[in-house]
Amino acid sequence: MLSMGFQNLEYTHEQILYQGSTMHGFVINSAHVTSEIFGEEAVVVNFVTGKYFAMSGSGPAIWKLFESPISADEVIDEFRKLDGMTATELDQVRDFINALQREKLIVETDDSSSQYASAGNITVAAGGFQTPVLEIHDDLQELIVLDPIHDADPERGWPVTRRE
Amino acid sequence: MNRGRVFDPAVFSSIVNHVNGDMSQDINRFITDSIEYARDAWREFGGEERYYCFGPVTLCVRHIGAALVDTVSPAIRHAMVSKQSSVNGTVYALDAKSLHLRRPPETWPFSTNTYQEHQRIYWDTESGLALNSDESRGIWQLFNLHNCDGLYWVDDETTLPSWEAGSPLRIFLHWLTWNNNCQLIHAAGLEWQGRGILLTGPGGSGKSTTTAAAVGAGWNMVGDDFVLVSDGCKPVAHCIYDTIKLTRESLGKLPNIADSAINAPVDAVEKFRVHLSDRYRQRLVGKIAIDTLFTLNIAGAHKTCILPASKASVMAALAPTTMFMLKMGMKESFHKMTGLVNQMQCYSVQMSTDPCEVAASMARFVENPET
Repeated sequence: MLSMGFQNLEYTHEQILYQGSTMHGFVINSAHVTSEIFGEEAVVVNFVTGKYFAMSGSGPAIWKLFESPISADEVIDEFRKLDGMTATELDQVRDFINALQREKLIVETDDSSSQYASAGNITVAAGGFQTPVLEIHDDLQELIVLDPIHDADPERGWPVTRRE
Repeated sequence: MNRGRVFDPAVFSSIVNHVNGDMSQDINRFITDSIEYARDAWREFGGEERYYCFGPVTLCVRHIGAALVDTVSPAIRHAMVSKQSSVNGTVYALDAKSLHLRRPPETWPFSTNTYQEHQRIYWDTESGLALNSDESRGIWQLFNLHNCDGLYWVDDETTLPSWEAGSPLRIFLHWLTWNNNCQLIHAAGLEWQGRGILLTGPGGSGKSTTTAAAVGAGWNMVGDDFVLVSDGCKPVAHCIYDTIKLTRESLGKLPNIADSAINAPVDAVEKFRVHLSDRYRQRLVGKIAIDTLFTLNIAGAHKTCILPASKASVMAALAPTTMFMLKMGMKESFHKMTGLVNQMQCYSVQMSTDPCEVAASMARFVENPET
């Protein structure tokens, strides 16, 4: 689903993308990605793909866990410890992690996944767990994919593309 | 001067064939030798030396043989100052054809190791050397971050595209400021009754139209497209360019400014350019202290509405477009903008269809933000 330049992912109970790799550690792809958490939201930019992302709900809390190597299962386990977490909500966490992998915002690491001791590592909003949301914006992709010098129209200039 | 040094085709060929698995060494040598070549040309030919002050950044531009003055100066003439004993950087402007000097390479002379074969951006913070090229139009920009010398090297000034004069030397300003407390930002800067704001928004959101309407209504301006923001206890936005770029449709809504356009666009896509220093000189100011960020959204409502916005939403409107337009030093730019956004009050402007009404609403809001 793509609407007006951004995509809201619908979280379906899909199979884990990386079968058999749920114990492998993942970490933020810092070579290609930069991010900042502002209160309960986060802004993430992948300057290789030209996409940028807004996270909300419990998304930033999940994102923060990947600052150090951690497996998807360990992330799920940490949220499972929170009071009142349902199976559906745990599926939402897993789907969010899958989305991070699809967008190459987190990458597999050779580092052995760390053992997170307790749910105290997760910062969840006062209202408790909220569906993690990842808004994907691709409206500026052309600025990266489009070489402003060579692909720009010679008469009108960047960002108008060169006519065939 | 040794005009044949380095730039003989045979020498280029040897560089290409001598890649030796280390393209960086070849490009680095090319950058340092090219800038040295320009220094030699300046010593031999002289030309026009001009100084520009953009807030905390002072730039010396040495037009070798007076080349490229007509391209570089119009959009930044308001920032020209008398000779300075100390500058932050020096850019040599060289037009090969007018002086019968060595031309910049017609084709990319180095191997490419990127998936985009046409990628022509080189940025090596370790060696302190940077390059941005458009060999198809004969435009090369080179920079040495260690001594802050640069070269704006063109094959023939008379064939430069018209939009090259819209924001001259921008990449040199970015290179000069990437590792200090200043940041080029893609935003408009306006001031009303001593209160400074930055306007940001996606392409087509009406930023330039709103800026033009605001200036017509009495706002002061420091920039329509890019401003230089310096950090401090209160951030300051400095003026770089005095141009506003407007579509035909926008110009039609602003009759007071319509006859000030300096170009005649060839089609509906190309924008009109207006030099504010021609028409509204008193409205163009050198700097403004800023404390508010507005993101513009085309709501199409009858009346403009200004609402509090989250810092994350404003950061998403501001940072990616700036980063992707500047292309180099993206992480540094992102983190500087994070610091800026955290200091600002953030609002979303749900705009009506009338840019003059939008400007008036913004003025009322700035005067009485609590209402």
